[in-house]
Amino acid sequence: MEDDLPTEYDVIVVGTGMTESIVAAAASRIGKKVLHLDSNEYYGGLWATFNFDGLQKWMEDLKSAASENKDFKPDLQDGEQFLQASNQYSTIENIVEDWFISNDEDLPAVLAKNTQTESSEEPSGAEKVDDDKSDKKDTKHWSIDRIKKEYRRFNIDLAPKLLFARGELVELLISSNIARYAEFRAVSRVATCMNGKLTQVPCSRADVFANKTVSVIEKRMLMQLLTSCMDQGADSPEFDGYRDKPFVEYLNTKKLTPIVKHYVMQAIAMATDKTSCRDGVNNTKHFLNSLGRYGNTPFLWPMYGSGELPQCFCRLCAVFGGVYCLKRHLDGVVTSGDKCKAILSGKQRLTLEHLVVGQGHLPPEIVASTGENKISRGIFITDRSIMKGEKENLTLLYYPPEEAGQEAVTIIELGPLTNACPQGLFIVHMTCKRTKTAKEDLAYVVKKFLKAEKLEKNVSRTPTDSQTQTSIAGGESVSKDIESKNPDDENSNNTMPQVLWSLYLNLPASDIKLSESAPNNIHLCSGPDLNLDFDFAVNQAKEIFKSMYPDEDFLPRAPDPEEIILEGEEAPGPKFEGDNSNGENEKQDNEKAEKEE
Amino acid sequence: MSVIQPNNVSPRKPRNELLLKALVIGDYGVGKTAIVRRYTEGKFSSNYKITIGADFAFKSIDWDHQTKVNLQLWDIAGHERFGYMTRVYYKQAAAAALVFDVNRVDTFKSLKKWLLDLREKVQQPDGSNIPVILLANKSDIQQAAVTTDQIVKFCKENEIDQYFLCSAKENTNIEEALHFMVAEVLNSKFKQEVRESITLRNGPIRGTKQACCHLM
Repeated sequence: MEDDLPTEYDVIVVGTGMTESIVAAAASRIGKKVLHLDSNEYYGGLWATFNFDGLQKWMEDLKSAASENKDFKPDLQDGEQFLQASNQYSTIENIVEDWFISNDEDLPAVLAKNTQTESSEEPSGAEKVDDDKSDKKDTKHWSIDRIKKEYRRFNIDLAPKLLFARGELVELLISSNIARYAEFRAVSRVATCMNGKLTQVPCSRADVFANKTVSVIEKRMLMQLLTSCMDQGADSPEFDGYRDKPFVEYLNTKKLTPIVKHYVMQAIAMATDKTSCRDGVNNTKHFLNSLGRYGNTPFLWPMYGSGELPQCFCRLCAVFGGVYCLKRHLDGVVTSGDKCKAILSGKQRLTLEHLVVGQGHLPPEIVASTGENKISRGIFITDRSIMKGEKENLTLLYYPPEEAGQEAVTIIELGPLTNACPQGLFIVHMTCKRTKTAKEDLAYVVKKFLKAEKLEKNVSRTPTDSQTQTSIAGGESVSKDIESKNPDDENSNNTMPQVLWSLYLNLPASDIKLSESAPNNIHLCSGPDLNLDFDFAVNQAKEIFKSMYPDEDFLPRAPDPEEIILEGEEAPGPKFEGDNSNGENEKQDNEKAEKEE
Repeated sequence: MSVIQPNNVSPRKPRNELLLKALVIGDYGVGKTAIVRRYTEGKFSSNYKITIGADFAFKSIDWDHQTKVNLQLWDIAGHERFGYMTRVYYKQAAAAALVFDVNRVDTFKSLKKWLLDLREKVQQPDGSNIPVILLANKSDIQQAAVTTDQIVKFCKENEIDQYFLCSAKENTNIEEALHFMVAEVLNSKFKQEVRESITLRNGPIRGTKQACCHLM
C-alpha cells in the first residue's frame, strides 16, 4: 500500500487515543483537512482494547520498543528548530503476567480430550443457552491452550471506563450522531462491600423500596438527602459551611444510620474519608442524574470494550475526509518561533496549522511536569462472578481503602454478554491510583475477592458455562467436587472466583503539562485518567477544539447516509435535515459535501 | 451475524426484509467507489467524487416474493486507505467484495493483506468466515497484468467463493457479482443474531428508557 501522504494539512493528530480521536473528528467534521497518525498498527494507544493474542503481542512489543532511539538530522530552514519525539510519557511499567491453570497436556487424559471440542458453536449474542448444550459443556475445562485458542473471544481493555448515562460522552455521541457506531450494555448492578459481604446497592426507586436491608425510616432519610443533592448540587445552602470539608463530616451531621451512610459514601458518591463535601455532592448528583435512562444503574459499558469509542470518532473523521495512517511514527516536530510548522514522519515533511498530539509522543523539551496521578491496573480472567446473581451481571464495585497507605480501587466485572470473554468466564478489571507497583497496590483487594492461587491439577472445579452459572456454580462445584464444604459459606475460598490468568501493569500519569514556552499551536492530549468515566477526555477535546476554532461548532450532528442526497457532479452538494440552523453551517456543508478524491 | 430482520411484517403479505452489510475492500484506485456507484446508481465517472459524510451506499433489492434485501455497501471511507480499518467498519459485516485492478499487479498482491485483516476481524457468530467474492476490475482495458490462472489459484488458496472479471466502466459483471454475493449470504446458514445491546438515540432526552434494541 502507498506510503506517501499528501503534505499539507490544517490539523495533524498524532495518536489515536480518546481525546485525539474526538479532536480529529471535530476538525474533519467542519471541513478541515486532517491527517491522523498512529505509530501502532491498532487504534487507541493506551486506550486500546485487545483480544488475548493482541494483548500478548502488545506486551512483546513493549519489550522491544525501548531500544528504538535513532538520532535524527533533518533538513531545516532558517530559524527552524527540530524537537525529536519521545515515548517517555507513555511508558508501561511493572508488567506481571501469571497463569493459574495448566496446559492441555498437563491435564488428565479424559479432560484433555474434552477440551479438544471446538467451542464456538455458541452465538455471541444473548440467546439463552439451552440445557442440552450446557450439560455437554460442563465437562470442559479451561486450560492455557484453550484460552489461547479462543483468543478472539476476548476483548481486554487497557483503560476500562464506564459512561454515565447523562455524562458528557453520552450526550456528545447522541448530538454528533456518532452513537450509531457504538453499542452499549447497561451496568446491571452497583455493588458495595458491607461488613465483609458484597451486596447490591439499590439504585432505582423500585430497588430502594424492594430492598429489605433498609428500613422505611432509612429509606426516607436517604430520599431526603438525595433530593437536596439533586436540586441544587453543591451550591445548595444545605451544604453551607461544609463544602470544603470532607463529605463524611457533613454526612455525620445528618444522623444517618450506618447502612445509609455506607450507600451514599461508598456506592453513590464513591467517596473516601478525604473526599470534599463539594465533590461528594457533585458525584452524588451526577450519579442520580444518570439514573433511569438506560437500565437500572446510571452506567453504560461499551460493547467490545472501551477501545471501541476512539474508533467511532476515527471513523467519523475518515468519513468526512480525514486521512488515516497507522503504523506511522512521528519522528519529531519542526518549530519556528512560537509556532509549530510541520512534523517529520517517515521521511516526509508534513505541514500543519495545528498539531494535536497524544502525551506518548511529546518531545521532552516542551513538557513542564510529568504528572503525578499514575495508574495501577489489574486484569483477571476468572471462572465465576464475584457475587452470585440470577443472571449474568455487569458489575461495578467501588472499594475504599481498608487502611492508611492504600488507595480506593474501582472494580468492573464483565461477562460474555459484553463480548469481553467466552461463555463461562469473567473479566475483572481493577484500577487505582499508583503508590507502589500495580501488584502491591491491588493486593489487598485481590485477596479479598479473588482466589489467585495456582489451581491444583487434580482438583476439578465445575466449569461454569451456562448463563446462570453465578447462581448454580457455587453450589454445584462445592457439592460435586469439593468434599465437606458448607455451600452457604459465601466467603469460603471455593465460592470465590478462581483466577485463571492475571496481568498487572502500571500506566503513566495523565496529568502531564506542557511548558509555557511550548508553541501555542501544539495541543496536548492526555492519556487515560483515573476517573471512572470519559468526561475528562471529552472536556479536554472540547477545549482543544475551541482554542483552535473558537467560532466553529463542535461536532454538529452528522447526517445519516440516507439523508445525503446524491446529485449531479456540477450541482452543489447535498443538504441534509437537522443541520440547516444557520446560513454559515449550510454553506460549509455544501462545500464539504462532495470533494475530489 | 449481521442480517437483521426488522419486525415490520405487513399484515397482508408476509415479507421478509433483511438488512445486509457488505464491505468493499481493496487498494487505492482500484475502482471501489466506481463499482459501488455503478451498482447503486447505474452511473460511472472516471473522475468520480467521493461522498463526504456517507458511511455506505444503499441499494434495495426485491429478491423474491417473500424477501426484500436492503444492501449496505461500505466503501472504505474516503481516505481510510492506508490499511488498518476501524472496528466500526468491519463490525457485523455479512459479506465482502475484494477488489483489485487487473492491470496493476501490486493491487493484486495487496489482496492477501486485506483478506488477512478482514478474516482476523470479522467472523460469523459460529466462528466461520463470511462469504468473500473477488472482483478483478478494469477488465475493459486490454492489458491485464494478472492472469486468470493466478486469480483462480489465489481464490483456491484463500477460500474465496467466486471471482468475477468485471468493469465498472463498461458495466460488465458488476450486477452479477454482487447478486452472487447476496445469494451467498442468504444461502449460508446464517444465524439471526439476537443482540441485547443499547444504542443511544436522540429523542426525548428525559426519562427515555430503552430496553434491548438493535443498532444499525
